[in-house]
Amino acid sequence: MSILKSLILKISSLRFAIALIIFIAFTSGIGTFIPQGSNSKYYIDNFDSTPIYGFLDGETILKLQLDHVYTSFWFLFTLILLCISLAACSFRRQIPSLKASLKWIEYKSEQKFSRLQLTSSHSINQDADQISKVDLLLKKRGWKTYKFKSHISARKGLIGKIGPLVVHIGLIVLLIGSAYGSFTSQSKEQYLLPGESLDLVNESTNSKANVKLVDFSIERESDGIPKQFISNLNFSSKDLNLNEIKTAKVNHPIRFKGLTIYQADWAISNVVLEIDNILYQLQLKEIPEIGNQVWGVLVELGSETKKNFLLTIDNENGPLKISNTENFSGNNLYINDNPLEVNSSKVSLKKIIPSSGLIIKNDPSIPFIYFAFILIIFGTIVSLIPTNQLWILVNKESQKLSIGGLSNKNLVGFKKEFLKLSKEIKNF
Amino acid sequence: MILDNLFKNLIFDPVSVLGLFVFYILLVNLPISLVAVFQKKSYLTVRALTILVNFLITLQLLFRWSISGHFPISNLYESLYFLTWGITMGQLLIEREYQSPIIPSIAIPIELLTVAFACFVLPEDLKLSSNLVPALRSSWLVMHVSVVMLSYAALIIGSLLSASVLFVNKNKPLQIRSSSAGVGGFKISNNYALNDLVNHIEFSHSEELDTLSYRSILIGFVLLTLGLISGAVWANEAWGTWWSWDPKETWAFISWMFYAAYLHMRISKGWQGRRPALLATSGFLVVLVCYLGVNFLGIGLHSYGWIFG
Repeated sequence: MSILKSLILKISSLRFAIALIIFIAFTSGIGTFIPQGSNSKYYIDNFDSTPIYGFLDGETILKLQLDHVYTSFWFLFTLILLCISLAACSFRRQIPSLKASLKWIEYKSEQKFSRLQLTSSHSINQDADQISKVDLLLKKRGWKTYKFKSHISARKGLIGKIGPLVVHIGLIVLLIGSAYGSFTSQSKEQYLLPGESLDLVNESTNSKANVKLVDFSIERESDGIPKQFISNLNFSSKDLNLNEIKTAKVNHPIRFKGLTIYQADWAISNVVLEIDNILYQLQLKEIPEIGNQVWGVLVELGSETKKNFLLTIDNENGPLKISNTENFSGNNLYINDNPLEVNSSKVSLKKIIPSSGLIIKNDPSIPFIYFAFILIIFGTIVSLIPTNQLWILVNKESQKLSIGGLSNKNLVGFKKEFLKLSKEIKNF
Repeated sequence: MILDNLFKNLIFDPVSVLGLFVFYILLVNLPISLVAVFQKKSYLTVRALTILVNFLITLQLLFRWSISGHFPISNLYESLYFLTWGITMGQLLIEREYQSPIIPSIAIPIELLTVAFACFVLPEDLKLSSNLVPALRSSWLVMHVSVVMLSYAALIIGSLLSASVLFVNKNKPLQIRSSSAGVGGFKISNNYALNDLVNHIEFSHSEELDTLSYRSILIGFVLLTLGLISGAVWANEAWGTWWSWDPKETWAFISWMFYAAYLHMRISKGWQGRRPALLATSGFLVVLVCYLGVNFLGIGLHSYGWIFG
């Protein structure tokens, strides 16, 4: 039991937390220098001959799981430690210190004032009721005061003290929420051609729905750069008795019964060609070797002797490039243009069919994540507010009024306010 | 003749001309601010020129906005100028709190370097504004990018102020006057007699600078938090994942953790004195990697528009 206790003590200590934070920051950096998520052969091939930093060869990388730092066993373990450390710190330090700061601290003797950051004192007239006057002034300036017979305790911006605690709670919710999300979220990427559809099944309510891509279009700027991708989707379900069309665009996903459907990608998946008066629908594949966003297919063309030709296209308006695989000479084929003669075959382009790449996602952790975000934003903003404290003491015997002040964050600013206040009090 | 040419250029290409103007004003301002440090006096000229720089950059970015039709922080050239705008703004705000010739003398060199980089190092085609890819056509862009750039500005100023803490009043011990916990620290000794003459304690120059550095890092930290979260929400809206460990994201997270460590170090009993300031100073490098380094590597989701080979 005492081992557990000393362990918790260690984990909630500030030194441990700082070490943990620096460790996480440092190891996160590693993941940006070593390519993540490639296959093991890649690491062996690339880093065995030239180890990173001189000592990290391919095998060490794989052993330490540096090929997937952010999902590695030890990284997740440190995140769990961070979560425990945050919780322990909140309960053992922050909450008790908040409770303590709610109490009003009395400064009854001048001796204590000399220890404060800001002090000033001046002699006063005996008969005037200085304490009540000062109390009124402070209240007018937005201070919360606690008035005693011959002294006042005052404070301002106490709310700033809950900031760090709220941030810590937000981080705990975020960490737990993302762990929950990694177990429960489901995601599927699907390319749909216009007219194709997808079945959605909700297991908990046992209802079915069907999503059909009505049409897919791409808006472009005059220079050809894409502006927006738009998918019109028809949602229909007998179980739910609905039939409606919704639009998914980049940055504007569709939300449907707990699912979110994102416009994520696109491709040119089919072209319709007329070759010697016969229509063919050809399926294209992405060819990353040629360039980003180029799709193509290898076909045999020719009426007498067949030859291989590579057909490539990079946008939905054409043209389709027909290249000879032997000498790489090429011709452009425009849509609905006159037929082109390729190896004595007559080829014309009838249709280019782009498909829409959709991501269908169900992530029940999102509300928790967003809640955590709100907590973190609120907490950090609130912690900007400095907590200031003031004490006033009237000594009737020596006819002296002393003022003392403390600020936890904005001493430079508070000093100005303090000087102004003490001048005002002096001039009563 | 020269003036005539200048006006022609100003109408033809106001963005680059104003950009060059800013560079030359900063070039003049730098030696004046250094003289001010040696004279140990704040110069009004320095502040007036800084206000002018700030105003010209505002004008420049507004021109860019009206010409390109979209929010003017979409490529490296524009963001460098916006960063300079943020640093000049921060410099002016801090000087309002505490006047010291040290503040402009550390801010102006960084402003000058940033603007010089934008003017003379960037290839011409990266200076021009280009159309945005669909994912960036969102009102989140305005919020996310401007908040992140302002946070870089505040963190850079904070780090540089911390660097000055390391050198100013080097022989005097430094007491941390500001932190998120505690009451704010008491006097080191209590030999101060309470009488009418000696009223309040004087903080050393470095303690004032340390407090200002802490405040601007705290503001930068809040802005960085807002930037990270707005980015996460935007990513979730655009492609369904709020965090993907993309290099830029990761480095922003590293900066966040780094400054979180700094804020915690200030409240730790074992690490008082100038040690947190040392950490904050090295934070400058982390922000630099986050802002520029990641894009020089040219990887990830944030590499659009400005790839260097």
